Amino acid sequence: MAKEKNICEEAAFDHVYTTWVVSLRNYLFFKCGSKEKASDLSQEAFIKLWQNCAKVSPEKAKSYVYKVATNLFLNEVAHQKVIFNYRQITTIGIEKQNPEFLLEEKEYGEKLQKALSELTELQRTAFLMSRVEGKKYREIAEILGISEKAAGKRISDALETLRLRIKEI
Amino acid sequence: MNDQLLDKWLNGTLSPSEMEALKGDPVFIEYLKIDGFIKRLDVPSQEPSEGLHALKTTLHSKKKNTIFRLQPWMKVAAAAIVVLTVGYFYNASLSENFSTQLSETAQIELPDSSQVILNENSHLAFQENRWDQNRNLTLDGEAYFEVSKGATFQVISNHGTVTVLGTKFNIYDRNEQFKVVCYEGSVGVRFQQSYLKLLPGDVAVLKEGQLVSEKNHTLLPRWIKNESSFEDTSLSLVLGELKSIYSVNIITENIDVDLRYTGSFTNLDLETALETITLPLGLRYSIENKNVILFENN
Repeated sequence: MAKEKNICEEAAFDHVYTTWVVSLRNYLFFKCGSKEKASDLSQEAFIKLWQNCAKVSPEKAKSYVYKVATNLFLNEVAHQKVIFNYRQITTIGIEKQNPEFLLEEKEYGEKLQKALSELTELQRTAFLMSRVEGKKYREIAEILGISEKAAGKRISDALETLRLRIKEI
Repeated sequence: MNDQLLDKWLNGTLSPSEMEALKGDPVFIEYLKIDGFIKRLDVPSQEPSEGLHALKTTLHSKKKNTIFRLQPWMKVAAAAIVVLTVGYFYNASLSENFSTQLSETAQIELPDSSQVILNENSHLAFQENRWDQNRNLTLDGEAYFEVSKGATFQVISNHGTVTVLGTKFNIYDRNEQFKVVCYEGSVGVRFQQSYLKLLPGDVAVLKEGQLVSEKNHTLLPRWIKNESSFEDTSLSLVLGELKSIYSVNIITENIDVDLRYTGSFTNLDLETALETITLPLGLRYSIENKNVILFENN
């Protein structure tokens, strides 16, 4: 029998966990806007992976946890009315700026938060994976199960929607 | 707006000169501003190592909550109890794995609806996808098997291989000890070049490197009822079992560990178990923290 690395081995599981947990947690965070929920669901997905370690090969582990996490999200979070709250956008180096500039930055940040929460969940997820994490189209497409072209379209559409919406608000 | 360049920018493959070209577009300047803000988004920051630690704590407590109770199990035509010791790494490479911790038993259904009750501190592995052609298992620790009729059912351990057609049997293979007891039907036991066929009441034991035949008079192994039983066994082996069940240190400096013991002790209460062992042998004991000290009764 081939001595293939099995994620039932603790070291192999630990490696899979530390490699993918941040990316998975961010993905969930971009979907729901809640750090706590994102953290809980990503842990739950890895528990499922551990429980099914014998059935999941190491190469499939990443897509497995994303799939489980997406299902958990759909079951637990998506049907609830989630209010997206992107207050987390913080300004840096503010002490050097004058008050008018500060006020403008603050207003802009609030508009951006509002515009972000109005994007569709999939647009926002693709857009934030690209802009916040710097993921390439290819990886985003793989996670979302769409083509690279569709991923690029979602991201550029999201960007244009945000630009137009910020002017309106 | 040059869509192709925008795409390159979003996908992180834009060259500096192309960037200069894009910057001439006021829309792109707006995009850059949005991008600058978005990059400051405060994402969850827990370190993977902390998350992993939390995950293991959760898994550990979950495991404790899923202790299985023994079920009525006399309904299957044939049954077997197997105790084997095999290498952990070999087990880990197989596709189906089950483990129990101290003071925990688990009931497992095999693909052909054979039942297994896994005793404490044990590990069972088998390959589900080839089950119909190949009923092979490896087991580290101790387990009770109710084997449905079908293809040859084979259990492999450090010391030997036990082959079953439809029967009830018990295998004990821990440390240097290897013992197979047949309760019903028949069992074949292979150790190196020797082979013994066991009928009900027969026992195969490894003694001084030889597989020898003995007789057994109990109907079921005692551990199913939370007891450990011995017949004319040296005290050192009896205490070894006690040590593994209760996770205690046993200090035997003051006594003769070659005394022979016949009897059973409970796996539920340490003091009762100690009394059951020491009383017939004329010994006394005291318990200090996790240490059990044995001494002569005088």
